[in-house]
Amino acid sequence: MSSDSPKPVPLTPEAVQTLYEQHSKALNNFLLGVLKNHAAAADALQATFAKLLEKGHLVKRQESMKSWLFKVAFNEALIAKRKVSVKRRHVEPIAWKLNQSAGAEKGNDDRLSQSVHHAIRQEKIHKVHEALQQLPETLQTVVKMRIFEGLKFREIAEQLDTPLGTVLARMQTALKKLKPLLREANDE
Amino acid sequence: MTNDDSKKQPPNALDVSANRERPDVSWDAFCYVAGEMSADDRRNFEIRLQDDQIAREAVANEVSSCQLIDAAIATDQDSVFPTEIRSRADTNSMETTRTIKPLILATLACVLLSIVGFYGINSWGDRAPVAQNTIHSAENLGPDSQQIILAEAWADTDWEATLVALNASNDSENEFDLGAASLEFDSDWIEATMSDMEADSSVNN
Repeated sequence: MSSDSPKPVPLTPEAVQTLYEQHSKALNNFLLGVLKNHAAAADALQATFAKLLEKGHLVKRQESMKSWLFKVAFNEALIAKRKVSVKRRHVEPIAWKLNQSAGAEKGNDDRLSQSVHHAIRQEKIHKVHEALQQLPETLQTVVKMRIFEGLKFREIAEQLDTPLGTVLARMQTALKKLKPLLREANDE
Repeated sequence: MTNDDSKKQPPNALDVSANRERPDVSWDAFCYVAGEMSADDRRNFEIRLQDDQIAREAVANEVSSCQLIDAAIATDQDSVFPTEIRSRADTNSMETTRTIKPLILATLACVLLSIVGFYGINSWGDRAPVAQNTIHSAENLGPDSQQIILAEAWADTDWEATLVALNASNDSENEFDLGAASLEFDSDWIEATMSDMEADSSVNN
């Protein structure tokens, strides 16, 4: 039966470009989350799309392409992780800190001018800022110390002289309250 | 584990991922991204990431969310910063004023004291000419004049001795005792001056 099916045709550069525009941002964030290093994430992202060019045509269902890309990206991240495990101490410990020119946003710059892209991002930031302001002071403090200052939960608990469980609960509550807005921002 | 059990259980102080109030994978993803998982939890979560697309997307979303929150707080910091600078500037100016005021007062006091002192010394000079100057200028005078000046110097010295005696008497029941003053008076320099002047006058003659 398989001999009857047509031989898969390699993906065209246009198709790869389209997939890059669709998924590169999320993939880059995912890789940042795993690797916690902008340069390593960018390398893994590049390797992922190199694999897409090489073997993307073997993916049977296009709807599972996203999952396939994430899986390939994760494998590439694990390979990169093994390589950088020796240098782990020097790796940027906070993955989410923005690297001004890094990331998959470059791909979007082809369609959107930088100023428009910047404006959209600023709008999202403004919304999150407003949502943060509406949180109770205790929640704001924990969010700020954890995400902005990069302190560990244990350190925050010590500094605030508060039980660790309370700090964790505050962080969870804050994220829960911000979740709808953040999801909306991430989907845009 | 039921919900009741999870409520009764105190939060584990060592394992942050044990504090599960949210049933979704977001909290695990956040802890993974934030580096708050223990080694075992991290390994387990990465095994999950091999096959769980929802978990993988949760990781990506948590990174994106944290970036937005970080940027939002940074914006807040920027807007707060000028206020801080302003308040610091106000504080500085208040502190500067606080520092300058005593300095100005001290300077004015010094000027006042100088003026008072200047006039005081002048009036003092009228009453008590300095003996040393008198002695030096005496070199250019004749023997008669020298004797007059010497007498004045003696009078001055006697007056100084009186002052010393006054101070001493102030210390002891405010009684003035000229006898005590004369005891404290040291006349060696006058004797030396006298012998010098005699020598000078003999040379001049």
